[in-house]
Amino acid sequence: MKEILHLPLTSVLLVFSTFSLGLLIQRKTKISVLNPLLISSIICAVVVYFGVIPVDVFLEGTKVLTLFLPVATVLLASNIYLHAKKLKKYALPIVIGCFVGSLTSMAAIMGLCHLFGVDAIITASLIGKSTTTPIAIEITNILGGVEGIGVIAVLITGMTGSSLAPLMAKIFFVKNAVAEGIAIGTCSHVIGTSKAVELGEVQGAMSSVAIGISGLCSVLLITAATAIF
Amino acid sequence: MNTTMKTTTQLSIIIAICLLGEMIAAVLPITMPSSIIGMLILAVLLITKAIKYEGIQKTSEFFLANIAILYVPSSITILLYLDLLAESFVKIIFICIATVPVVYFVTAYTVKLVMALQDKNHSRKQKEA
Repeated sequence: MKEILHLPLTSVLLVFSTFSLGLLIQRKTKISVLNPLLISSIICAVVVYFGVIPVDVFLEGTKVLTLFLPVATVLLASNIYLHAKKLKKYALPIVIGCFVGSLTSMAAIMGLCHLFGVDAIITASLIGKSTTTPIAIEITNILGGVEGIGVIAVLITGMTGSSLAPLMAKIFFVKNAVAEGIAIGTCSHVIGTSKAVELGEVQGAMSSVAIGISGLCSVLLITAATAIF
Repeated sequence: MNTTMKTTTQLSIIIAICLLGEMIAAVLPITMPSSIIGMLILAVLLITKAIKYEGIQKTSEFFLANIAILYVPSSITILLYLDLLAESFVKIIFICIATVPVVYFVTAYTVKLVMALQDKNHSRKQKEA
């Protein structure tokens, strides 16, 4: 039995089956917070934590998935291409908004981490958390953080943005659909965008454009910062 | 049979771009993730129509629809750092939540400001848009 549990395919099966379960739960409950990545991660973490599959065996077995992460990241270019027209129309507000938003995000995270005296490894893992997961993972790796903490931080941030988006628009008097969409995409990436799509067509489109642009801005800011310091 | 060929061709192109990104990242004097370089290359190729989007659409849609599953192994690395995490768990959650409205507010008002300035400068141009 142990031999079978330790096969790479068992780990892969665990990921696929729990992710499918997560998709099913999200579809049935229609609660965006219950997303498949969160559900799958929690179940896999429990299985690994109790030693049913040791962590090194799990990570080794699922390398086949991680291997394709750069492929999927490169394909994010499709989103840029598909939204290029909308990007053209509001190029300046989008680019400046995303840049300032990304800078604010990183500055706020660094400030709060400093204030709370959080460990440097954790700070490094949190800095990219407003960007979409593959970009956040890259930023975490550049800064020497922990991928897992980065991914979870991205999830929490996305879920927060998604649940607070309608409320924030009210509190901050954001009635402009373009501004609302870009703000949602910049602060809470893909998960927030699923909410933005519900709020309106313009919000949804602007939010998806903002994911890519703010992700790029964040990487460029990090690249610049590591080159200078 | 035909569709299989097509998918493999699509994947070959994309994986080749990934490797090109790796090569460029290795020679660049600055730290830039290879996948982001690859993404920029593909974006340029698509926008200049050097690669037709329809050509990679199937593979692209498949990967982007299922991309989140690729993060599950990454998220599990958290188990290797449980001590570190336990120490600052509440702080992490607080930072993650608290920064969201800040970024939202700053971004929304930056966009509004830029749009207002543009309106002032090219009120005519804005109208037809």
